[in-house]
Amino acid sequence: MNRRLVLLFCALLFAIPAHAAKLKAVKALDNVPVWLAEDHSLPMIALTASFPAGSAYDPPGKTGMAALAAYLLNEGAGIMSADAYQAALAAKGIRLEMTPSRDWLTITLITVTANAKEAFRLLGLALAKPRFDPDAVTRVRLQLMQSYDRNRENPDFVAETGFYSIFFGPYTYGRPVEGDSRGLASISAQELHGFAQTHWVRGDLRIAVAGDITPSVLAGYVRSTFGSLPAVAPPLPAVPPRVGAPGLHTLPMIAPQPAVVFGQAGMLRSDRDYLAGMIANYILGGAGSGSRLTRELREQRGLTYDVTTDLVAYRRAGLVLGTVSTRRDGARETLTLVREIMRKFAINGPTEQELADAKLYLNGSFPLSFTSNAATAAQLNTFQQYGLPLDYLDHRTAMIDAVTMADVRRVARRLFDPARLTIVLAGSLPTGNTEPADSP
Amino acid sequence: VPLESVEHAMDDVISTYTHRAPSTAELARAKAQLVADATFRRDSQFEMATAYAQALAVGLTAFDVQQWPARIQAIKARSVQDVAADSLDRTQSVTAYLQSRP
Repeated sequence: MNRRLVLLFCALLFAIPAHAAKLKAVKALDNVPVWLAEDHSLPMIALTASFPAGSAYDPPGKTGMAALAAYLLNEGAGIMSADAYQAALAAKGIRLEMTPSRDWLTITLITVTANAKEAFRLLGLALAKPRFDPDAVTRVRLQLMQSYDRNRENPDFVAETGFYSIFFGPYTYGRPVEGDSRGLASISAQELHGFAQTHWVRGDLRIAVAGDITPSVLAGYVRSTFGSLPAVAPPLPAVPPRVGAPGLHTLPMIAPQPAVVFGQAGMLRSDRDYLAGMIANYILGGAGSGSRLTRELREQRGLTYDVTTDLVAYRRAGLVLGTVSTRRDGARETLTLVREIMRKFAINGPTEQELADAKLYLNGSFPLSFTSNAATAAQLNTFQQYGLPLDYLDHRTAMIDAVTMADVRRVARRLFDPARLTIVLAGSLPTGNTEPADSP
Repeated sequence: VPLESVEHAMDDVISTYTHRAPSTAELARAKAQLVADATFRRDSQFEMATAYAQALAVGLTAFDVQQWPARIQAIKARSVQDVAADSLDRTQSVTAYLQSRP
């Protein structure tokens, strides 16, 4: 009995992330949320900031605009050429990384405390006075075009890109985040300047910081770095009118192992049932080696090494997104089984044990997202992107524990419907088979 | 670009510091990056455990790991050149080309 109590106590202790206790909102700029996890144990600061400058804002015909602009952020600013700017970062050991996604441009800045002033100055310069010099634009454009060409030989990329294109159709989420050859080739420096001015803005900006800095010092840096940016946010794209194209779509290519991406409409992060959906997804395909799909497809039948499902919440649409790769002659059986396992899960829901295990994992693993300043800033910024409140961390454990079996079953029926699955396979299937057709 | 030209260009860069010491700015930049990276590695428990394990595995001590940034800061330009001259020896190097079938 004592041992049980001790274990319970440890579980409770670990359920509260260390950084969360010192988490506070910093007032620096109007309408810009700035969260700080203050921690002076290491002489370093990590910042993660998200701008409304993801590929969803690419103008028609200019697929890749957001990504090209993003990757040019550290290629010269103000009076500094690309070389001079990179040398200035390197001279102080400052890390500056840009990650474009569908909704956001996410920027990570990591510096030792002693060089914080210079780090924030260089970031502010890049945001307010980007150069988009011809040589830098040409170089980064070519890198993106070459990477696109290389990726077209990669079945995983082809299946994923194909899925988004088929699932979302002409809607903006249907285009590849890092652009395509035609879009990238057509973008001018002038257009990049225009994009930066309207999207690298403090309207809709969200900032999370972790590490060795006080709220008042941070407020000063935030004002000097981001304060001069326009306060107007670009309009969000309209909600997609219709999504999904149920059935199997084959994208023929020569590949030893076909790659499959499948999915259907999911949930926005603001959905009241989101946490129940997270639990349901974890049990079906999110739990890695412990998921139902892995048990059935890998352990019992040896059809794949890797099958996963994920809940993806964009600002304008949610997705249940799954991936599986398999050998050529196993593809049909694999897809039939994925549908069957999904169907059973939607009808019967999880077992009590599965539900309890999922909650234990989702609560127990949560503090692992806060084990470094860099990870803490990134995780907090993700919550900001989702529009979650500052006290979400305090309530998350209780909210997950409060999800009932009825909640999970209700959500599972809504999220996992094999008849609504859009399935995209990159590769080839054996011909002349006599199995039933894949499309329902 | 023929591979030979790429190889010669690389050889030129690699041999730079065998006959001259790095400039003050070059040395300062390299040190700033190495020391900052050491701090960023300590931010991750996994990386920190790895750093200590790697040091202990080759007979160094925890003290060596802790002293590493200070020792980096103390390095002189001349010793960088000496080490470069000693270790970056063209006659001891191997270069391989992977080419498509003719």
